[in-house]
Amino acid sequence: MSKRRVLIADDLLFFRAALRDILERGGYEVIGEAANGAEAFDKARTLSPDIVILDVVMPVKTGIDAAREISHLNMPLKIVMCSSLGYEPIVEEAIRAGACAYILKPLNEEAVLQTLVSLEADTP
Amino acid sequence: MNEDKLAIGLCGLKLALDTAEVAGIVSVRHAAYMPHQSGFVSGVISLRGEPVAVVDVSRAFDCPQEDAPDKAPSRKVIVVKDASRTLGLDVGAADVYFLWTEELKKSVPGESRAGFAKGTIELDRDRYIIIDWRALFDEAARVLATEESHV
Amino acid sequence: MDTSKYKALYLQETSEHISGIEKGLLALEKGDADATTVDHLFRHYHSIKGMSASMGYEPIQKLAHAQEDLLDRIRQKRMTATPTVTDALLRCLDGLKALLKRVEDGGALNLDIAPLYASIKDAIEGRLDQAAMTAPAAGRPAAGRPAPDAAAPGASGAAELKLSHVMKVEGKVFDDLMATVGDLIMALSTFKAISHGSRSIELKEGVYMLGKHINALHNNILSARMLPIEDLTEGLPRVIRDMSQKSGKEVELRIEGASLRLDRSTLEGLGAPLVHIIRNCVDHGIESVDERLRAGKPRSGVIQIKAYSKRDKVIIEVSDDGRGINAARIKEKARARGVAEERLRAMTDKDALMLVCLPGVSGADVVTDTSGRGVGMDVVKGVVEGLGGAIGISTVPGAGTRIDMELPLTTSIIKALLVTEGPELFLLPISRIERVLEVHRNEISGGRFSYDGAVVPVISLGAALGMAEAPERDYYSLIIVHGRTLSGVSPAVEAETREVAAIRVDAFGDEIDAYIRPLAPPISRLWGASGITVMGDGRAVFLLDVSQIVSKALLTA
Repeated sequence: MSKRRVLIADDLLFFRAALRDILERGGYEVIGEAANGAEAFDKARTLSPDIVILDVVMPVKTGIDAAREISHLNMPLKIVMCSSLGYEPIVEEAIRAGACAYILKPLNEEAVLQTLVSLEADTP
Repeated sequence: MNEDKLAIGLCGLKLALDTAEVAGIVSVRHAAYMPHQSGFVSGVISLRGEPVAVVDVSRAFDCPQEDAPDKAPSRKVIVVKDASRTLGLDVGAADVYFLWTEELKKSVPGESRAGFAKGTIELDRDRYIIIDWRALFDEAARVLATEESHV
Repeated sequence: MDTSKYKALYLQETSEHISGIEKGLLALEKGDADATTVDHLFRHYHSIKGMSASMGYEPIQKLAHAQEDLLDRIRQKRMTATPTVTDALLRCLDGLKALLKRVEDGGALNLDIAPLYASIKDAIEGRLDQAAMTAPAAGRPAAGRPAPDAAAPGASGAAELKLSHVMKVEGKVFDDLMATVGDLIMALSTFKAISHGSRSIELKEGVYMLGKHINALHNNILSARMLPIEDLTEGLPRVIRDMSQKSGKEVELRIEGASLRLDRSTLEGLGAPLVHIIRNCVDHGIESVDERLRAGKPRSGVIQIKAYSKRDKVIIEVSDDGRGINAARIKEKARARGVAEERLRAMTDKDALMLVCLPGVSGADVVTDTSGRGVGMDVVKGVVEGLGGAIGISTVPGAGTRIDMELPLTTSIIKALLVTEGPELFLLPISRIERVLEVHRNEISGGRFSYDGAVVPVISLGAALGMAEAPERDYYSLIIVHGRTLSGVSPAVEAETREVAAIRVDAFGDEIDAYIRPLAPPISRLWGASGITVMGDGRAVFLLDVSQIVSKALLTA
C-alpha cells in the first residue's frame, strides 16, 4: 500500500509542525499545509489528498465550513477534525459537516495515529 | 445650616460664610484698580498666583462709610470659591472668627433673602446674616460688563 | 510528544497572539470593538490555550482557557464587556505575559494564577461587577479575595509593560504647567530687576542661567500645548450643514492645512470668530441657488479654510465664492458714521474694507441691502487682536471674499511695558508701542503733542480708565502707540489711516515678559483690559487693550 497523502489545515504553524512530525513518523506523507479554511478547501481540491485534517477555529473560514464545502466536492477523501474544542455540539456539527473522525488537542501521537488507522477500517 | 461658619463683625452687623467655601483670608494693602470700577467693586488682588476680583462687603451691606476701607492701612480680604467662581470679599478691618458646628447646634435658622443675604441664623441672641456671595459675584459681573466689550 | 523542538515556534506564535489580544482588549475597553474584534480575541485565546496544552504549560492553558470561555460568552452576547470585565482581562493578559516570559527564560511556571483565574470566573458568573459595586473603595477584586494585581503574575507582568511614546494628558495639566512657568517668569523678572541694580557678578550670572533654563522649559511646554487646527474645525461641517439648511443655500466646506498646530489658548479663542466669519459667508457672501445659477456659478457655494505658517505666524484664510463686498457702499456708511472725508478719499477699496471692522459701520443694515457682510466683524477683529494677531479682508465683487487672520503661535507670554499712573501699575503690549518719551507738561498743548512731524492726540490714561483726577505734574511719560493695525495695506495708506496716539502716564518702568491670563468672570467683560498678570510680588496688573482705549478716546475727543 502506498503512503497515505495528508493535507493539514491549522492556523498555527506550531500545530502544523507538530502534526507533520507525528504523521511522518507514522508513515504518512504530508502533501500540503493550509493556514485557514479557505486555503484548505482550495488545496483539498487541487492536491487530491487521501486525508484532510482540519482545525476547527481558524480565520477566514472555520474548519467546519471548510469540511462542509470539501464534502460537497464528492472527492474520495476522509475529513478529520482536530480541535481542543470538545463540546458535543461542535463535534456533532463537525460530523454533520462531513468529518468522520475527531482528534482532541492537545496532540497525543498515539491517539492521532490510532484515529487515522481506524479510518482505514471503513475505507471502501 | 450647621456647617462651620466664618463670622464677620462689620459695622454693627454680624455676617457669616460657610468655611467650606473659604479658600483663604489675605491681608491686602493695595488692590489693583479696575478700569472704570464702580459701585462695590474694589479692585483685583491675587491669591496663590491667581487673580481674584474683590468686592467691598461694607458697601454691599450699606454700612456707613466713615471708616472707608481705602483709608485703612491693611484690609482683610476673604477669598471664597466654588467650582467655577472665585471672589474676594473685602471686609476692611472687621473682626473675623469661627462658629463651629457644635455651637451652631443651638442656633435657629431664619429666612432672609433680602439683598445679598441668603438666610440668617440666630445664636445666643446674635443674629448672623449669611452672605450670598454668588449674588455678589453676579452683581459684580453685571456692573463690570461693558457693552462695547470685545467678547 | 517531545515538545522542546516546538518551543521557539510556540513563543513566536504566542507573542503574536498576545499583541492581538492587547489591541483587541483596548478596543473593547474603548467600546469600539465590533463582532470581528471579539471573534479575533476569542481565537487568540483559543490558540494560546491549544498550543499551551500541547506544550504542557498548564497554568497558561488554564488561564487562556478561562478567558476563551469569557470571550465566547461575549461573542454570543450572553454577557457584555463592562469596564470591570475588560479590566480583569487586561490584568490576566499581564499574567499571561509574565508566564510566557518564564517559558522563554526556561523558568518554572510556578506563578500563582489563582486570583487571576478567579477574577475571570467571577466575571463569567457575573460576580465581578457586583463586587466592584459593593466595595468600590476596596478596589476591584471580590470581597475576601486577594487583589489580582497583588499576585506575582500581575506584578511582574506590569514591569514588562512597554509604554507608548505618545501620552494622553488632560489639557488642564498643560494649562497648570504653563501657569507655573508663567509664575516662574514673573518671579524671574523680580530677580532680573534686583540683579540689574546689583554689582554682584555671581548674582547676574545666576539670574542669567535661571532665565535660560526657564526659557527652555517655557519653550518645551509651549510645544506640548500645541494642538492641530482640525481640533477646532472638526465641528464646522455640522455647523455649516445647519446654517445652510436654515438659509436654503447650498454650501460646501473645504479645509486645507488642518494639521497645523497652534497654541491651545489661541485655538480656543478662535472658535467664536471662526463661526462668526463662516456665518457671514453663509448669510451674506454666498448667494441663493437661483442667484448663483443666474450668475453662471455652480449651484453650491464653497467656503474654503486654508491654514499655513509664515515665519513665527500662522495664517488662517477663510474665503467664499459668493457675491463679495461693495467697497463703495462701505465708504458711504463710514462717511455717515463720521469718518473724515480726506481719510476716506485716501483709501483704496481694499483699505476701505477694513472699515467693516469699525463698530458703527458693521451694522446689520449695511449688510442686508448692500452686498456686504459685517455682522460682528468688529468682534472678530477684537478677538483676533486680543490674541496678538491681525486681520485682513479682500474681496472681488461678484466672485467672493477672503478674510485672513494672522496669528502668533502662542499668546500666553508677551513682552509688555510697565507704566505707573497714580498708585497703579499697568502693562502695555510692546507690539503696540512705537516710542516712549519723557516730556514737560508744557510740551503738551490742547491735548495734542507734536511727534515725528505730526500732531498726535494725547490720552490721559487715568482719565481714560476713569480714575480719580490727580494733581498736575511737571513731567509725564508719553507712550506713543498705534491703535489699529491694518494688515495688507500699502505703507503709505497705513501711515495715513493709522491711529497713532500718545498715552500719557506718570512714569514708565521695565519691559517685562509677562505671563498673561485671560480675564475670568466676573471681570471677563471688563472694558479697557485684555488680560491680567500676577507679578512676582503678588501684585495683580492689567494688560491694557490699546485699541479699545485709543478708539474710544478718539471718538469722544
